Amino acid sequence: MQVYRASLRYMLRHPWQLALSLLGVALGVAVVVAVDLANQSAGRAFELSTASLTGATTHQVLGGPSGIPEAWYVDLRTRQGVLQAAPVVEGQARIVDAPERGLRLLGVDPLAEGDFRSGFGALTEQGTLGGLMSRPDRFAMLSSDLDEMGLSVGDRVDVEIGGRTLELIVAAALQPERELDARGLRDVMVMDIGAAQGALGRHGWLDRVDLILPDREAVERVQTLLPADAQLLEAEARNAALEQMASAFQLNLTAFSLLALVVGAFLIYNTMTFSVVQRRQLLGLLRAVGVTRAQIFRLILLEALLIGAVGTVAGLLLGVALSHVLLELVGRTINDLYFMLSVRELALSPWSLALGVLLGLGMTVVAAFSPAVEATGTPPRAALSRAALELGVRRQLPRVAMVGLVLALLGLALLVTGAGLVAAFAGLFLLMIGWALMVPVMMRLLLHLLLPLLGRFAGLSGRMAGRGVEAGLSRTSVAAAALMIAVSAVVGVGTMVDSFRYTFSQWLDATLRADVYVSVPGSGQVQPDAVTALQDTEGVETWSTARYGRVGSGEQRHRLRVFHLPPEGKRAFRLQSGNGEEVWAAFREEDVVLVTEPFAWHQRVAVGDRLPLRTPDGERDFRVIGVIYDYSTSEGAVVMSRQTYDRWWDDPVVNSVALYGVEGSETEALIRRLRENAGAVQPLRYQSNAELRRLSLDIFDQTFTITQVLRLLAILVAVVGVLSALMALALERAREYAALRAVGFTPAQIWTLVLGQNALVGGIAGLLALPLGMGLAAALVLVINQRSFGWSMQMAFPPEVLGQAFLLSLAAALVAGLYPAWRMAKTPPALALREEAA
Amino acid sequence: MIALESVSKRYREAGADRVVLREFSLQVPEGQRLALVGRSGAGKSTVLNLISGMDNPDAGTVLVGGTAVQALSERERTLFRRSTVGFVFQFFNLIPTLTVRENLLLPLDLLGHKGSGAAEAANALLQRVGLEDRGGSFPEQLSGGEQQRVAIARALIHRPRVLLADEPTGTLDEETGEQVLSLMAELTAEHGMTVVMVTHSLDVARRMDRVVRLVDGRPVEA
Amino acid sequence: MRRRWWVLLVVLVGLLLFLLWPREPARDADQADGFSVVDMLTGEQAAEGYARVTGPESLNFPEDHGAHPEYRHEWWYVTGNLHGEGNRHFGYQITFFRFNVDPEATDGESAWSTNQVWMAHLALTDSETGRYFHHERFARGAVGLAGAEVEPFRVWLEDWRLEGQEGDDIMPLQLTASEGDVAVSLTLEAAKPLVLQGDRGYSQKGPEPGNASRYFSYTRLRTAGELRVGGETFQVQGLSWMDREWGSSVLSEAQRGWDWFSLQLDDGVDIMFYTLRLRDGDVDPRSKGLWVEQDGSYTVLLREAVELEAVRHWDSPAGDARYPVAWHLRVPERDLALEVEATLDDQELRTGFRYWEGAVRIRGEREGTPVRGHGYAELTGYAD
Repeated sequence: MQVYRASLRYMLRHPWQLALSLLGVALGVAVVVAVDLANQSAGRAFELSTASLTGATTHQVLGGPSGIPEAWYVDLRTRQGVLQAAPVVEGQARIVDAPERGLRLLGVDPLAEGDFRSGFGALTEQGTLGGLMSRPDRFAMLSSDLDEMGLSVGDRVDVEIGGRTLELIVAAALQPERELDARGLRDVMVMDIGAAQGALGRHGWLDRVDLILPDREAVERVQTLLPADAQLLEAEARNAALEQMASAFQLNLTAFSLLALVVGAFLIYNTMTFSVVQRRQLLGLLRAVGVTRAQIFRLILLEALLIGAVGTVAGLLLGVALSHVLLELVGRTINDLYFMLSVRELALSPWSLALGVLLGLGMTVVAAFSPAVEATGTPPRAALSRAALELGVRRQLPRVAMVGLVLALLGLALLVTGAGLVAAFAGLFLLMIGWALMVPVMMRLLLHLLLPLLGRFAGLSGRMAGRGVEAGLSRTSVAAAALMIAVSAVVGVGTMVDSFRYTFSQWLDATLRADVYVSVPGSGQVQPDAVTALQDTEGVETWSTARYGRVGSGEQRHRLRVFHLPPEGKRAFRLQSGNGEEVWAAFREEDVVLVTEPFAWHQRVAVGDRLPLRTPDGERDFRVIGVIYDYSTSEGAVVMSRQTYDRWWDDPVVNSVALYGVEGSETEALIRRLRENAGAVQPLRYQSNAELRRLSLDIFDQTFTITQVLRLLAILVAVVGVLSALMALALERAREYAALRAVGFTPAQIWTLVLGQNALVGGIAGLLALPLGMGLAAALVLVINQRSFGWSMQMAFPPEVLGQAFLLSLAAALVAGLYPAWRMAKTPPALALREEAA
Repeated sequence: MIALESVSKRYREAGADRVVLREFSLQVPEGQRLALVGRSGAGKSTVLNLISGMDNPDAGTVLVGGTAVQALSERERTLFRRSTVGFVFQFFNLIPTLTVRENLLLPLDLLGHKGSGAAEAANALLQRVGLEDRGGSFPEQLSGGEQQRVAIARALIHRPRVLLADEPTGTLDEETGEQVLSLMAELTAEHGMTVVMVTHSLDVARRMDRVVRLVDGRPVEA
Repeated sequence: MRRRWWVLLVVLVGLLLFLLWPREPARDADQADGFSVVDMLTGEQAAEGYARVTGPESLNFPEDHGAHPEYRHEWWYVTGNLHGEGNRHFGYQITFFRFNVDPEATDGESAWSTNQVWMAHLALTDSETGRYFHHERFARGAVGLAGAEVEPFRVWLEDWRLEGQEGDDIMPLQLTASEGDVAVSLTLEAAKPLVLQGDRGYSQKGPEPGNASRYFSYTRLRTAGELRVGGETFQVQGLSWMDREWGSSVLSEAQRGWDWFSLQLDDGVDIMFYTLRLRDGDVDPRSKGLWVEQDGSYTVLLREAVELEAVRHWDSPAGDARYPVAWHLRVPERDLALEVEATLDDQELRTGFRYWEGAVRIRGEREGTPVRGHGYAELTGYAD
């Protein structure tokens, strides 16, 4: 009816206001939806690929560090009559001309695959099977993947596998019948098992044997047939464990996205409140004419809902677009940190979209509630002045601050005492919101303190600016709070990343002590002759070796690192817990292991506990004598001395050699000599200490790209929010400024006044953001990262981060003041003084 | 028609209470046209607010057309106001985002009268106030006097029993003000409406049937 | 008016969600892609690069008991008719097939690398209850999963094994195979020495050079051992027949398939005969057989010498195939007239490669004396 028509036209007549509130909703919804979609897509990609690659497999046999001897598999078929078994060898590959795509290399026996994985039909076709099985250089890939790379059957392709470049031939294009396989087999390169063994340098060994076991009896039977250091695991359980690993990371992402939403909500609140205030006279008139309070309430709420609806739709579209960018980042990060995952497709989950709709509309209603209530409270005909309104608000301040304090303390309590990641994030949010609620009170205090200073340094204008901010506290404090939250997020995350980087680089310094590190790319074996050649090179004072693999323990598999250390090498491990002297004495001689910090956290293992590991002689207990710091993986690892390893495992393989040069030797020259000596035996990768260190830090920085992106988005939302809030505030005071102009203020002085107020708001917001930001950082470092990944980090508070954040806050507020200042200064006073019909 | 009995009202301002009406009593018989005069801040607008139910007295009763307004709930007062009262203010009478015609239709809309009947009434009244060709204009396109004329039409379209006016000619020049007042007198006389008008100007006051001065929160007949 | 806004909004949002809701695409039916045995046995062009059987050559034992990997295909083919308690009849077949899938392959580094694909068929007929079981397996000829060796003789695919002795004479043989409801464990002893088929083992099948195979047989192997059928175990004995054949192209384009018979009469005579059926319906004149006397001496049976007439047919329940399952076979010059009939109509192997291989019972007259016996018939090329 008329009232709604009036309200709609009002919104259309103030397009900037409308646009800003729409933008706020849209951005908030977009970020949440984008992150959720990216997470869902990653999850879906994971599901699809594991479903396709696992196929009908019910159980998997996994071996010790070397894998499973192929003879065991043959025996399984020829002697034990276990027929539903498929051998698998896995690795990674990269097509030289398409280096950005990481491919998963799968080596299988096409004749055994029939029951297991569908989609491999093309492998057994006439003309293909022969080539695949009898030659070492054939492979097959999804027909769509080949098309994307411009390859066809018969083409020769350079492929990088395990550090070597091999020339392979496309033998077949897979065209699975099922849509699921067509997506799940993306970025998978299939080779015959023998060829894959050759490419990966794993002749004689299998990574696993997939089985289809129909009942309990069959499972038990295979259990009895297992080699002593092998495990029989349920395929489902294993996949679930993998997925679990990335969940902490994904939760972190979601939490960040909710931050953007919170800031967006502030925006709505601000804009709705402003529009209510602006229309006080109108509302008063309506009340006089006989519109009930309930009708006014509904009116405001409906306006908000309309904005919310339009903004949400825009946000959904924006979010879908944004998710494409995030998708790549999320996929890349998971790849870097956890496991091979190819996320190339957006899974448009209706639930993500529904969530976006719910949040968008929900947050709008919640944010508009308070202004709506305020609107109904408008006394008919606005008998009360602006000042009286502020008075009313001022009376509320202590109560609001009290609520804020309670929430903040509650949040703190949750952070400290709560268990688990969700509790930590909840606590963090409560802390932030609680602090935000205390902003008005704190702002008032600060203004009281600043006022005399302002007067002394900036004269009358200064005092006016100060009083202006205080007079509009109900508005300015909300703007300040929104800005503060965003800036504190910038401070918090920035500090967290810096702390992490600092800790990481300290750890690198302590761990990388050798001069040259030699390895085979892709975790291959360094040939024994090559090892000897390296060790015997002139200029090498001492050396150490490492072996990396996986070892079974109960129903799980753990990373195992075996080190042969020189006597001084003990300093390469920094102990978090464990008696230093005792540790090194026992490390070589007794059946003991060290575990990394994340391992101790995730597995709930401490010094003194016994860790059962599967050796070829059966499962043995190894005592944990120490926990070491380690930032190379959040999964955690078990560390064992070579001497102990050799006692129980018959596996001479070495994966990398670290060489310590003689005092004063030049690293480059040493590398040359090493290459000369060992190059004849085997092509290896040589990395200097400095190079390795730089590489590690590069990977670290790349991993945190996604955090940067999210930070940027949060800042964007905040700036937009503050823009609208401060602009509205300035426009509200149009008559005031006009009066000043009439009195004799020059436009320049108006500028100073407006910008001055804004600077105050920005500055106070920035100031208040610093303690919250540092608290945030502490929470992130000490609680959230600890619980997500198991790492302990040193807190570093780089002054640049704090300084930058403060300046950012100031700048955002000033930018927000530019347009109003310009408008105020420009408008002829008479025009503004006239009783505007709003 | 209107009876205020021992009404008291005070406002809280900047830390102190200000007593506006002090056991104020006033009777206005039906059809009378009353002028309320007094200094600024004497409480004239407050009286209007109490009569219309937009405000509630701290003590005393407010009877309008037999209804004890102060005893009604907030919602009931609003509904009462819809049907019984018409308001004209000094400025900002019209909703800026509605056309002139739409502004007129608003009170009828609130009472549930829609459709052709309402449209006819609006047109008729527009004609009476001489603005039949401005129906589609927005308030900002009208002069001050024209706006007040529309305001009057809007205040009367639903045939209220009481018309309350708060300095309706305050912003107008003498001539235009004169026009507006005549129009008001004409229309209200037609239906025997009770009128209470607040004004500064004694000239304006003298045109009414009765003048009451507010002094120290109490009425003084003049 | 207000209410209409709400409804519109809800409808719009609902529509949006509905349109964007990803639908699970309809599952396409899984088609078994795969290995085509028929292609392996036919086709002139595809036989490029393989060794060819082009004329008679002397055979060397024990080597020729083993595999000839440079030829495209090869088999060790054992069938038998066995009787358990109460003269209960069983027929069994085990065949080990070897295929060379890439004649130009070089030696690979990996133990898995090979150009040999092995296929094995195990079939069992329980004539009394009318049950027929068949199983098929594939494996590569590498890492010990499947293969053939001599000294001692052994041919196997996973845990199906046919094992013999060292030296030229590989007898007796031990056969062990089981899968699902079926298991066989039998000892086979040669009752007659091996016979060379065709021209001293050179069996020409088609007009082009190379359309031939090397072919020899053990026509009478005394068999004893154990059968397990569906949970029941039977002690059995009877006679088996083993065929050995290898080559690179068997059928010419004009040929469609063959009907092959191995017949063991209770008077000690063994007969092998096959007709090569042409696409136009005629019988290839190169069809032939072998007549083996009680003492092991043998002569070739030419096409003209044998009259074969199918008297009853059976349609495969899998459609597209109509097999003859009863015949009148006459060799007038030997005064032989036989009625040959399948002990069970449905003895069709319906795996990737469809063919009918079944036990037959024989009743007839030779030189005026009634004669009985058992044998096996193999019918290929009936299914489209």
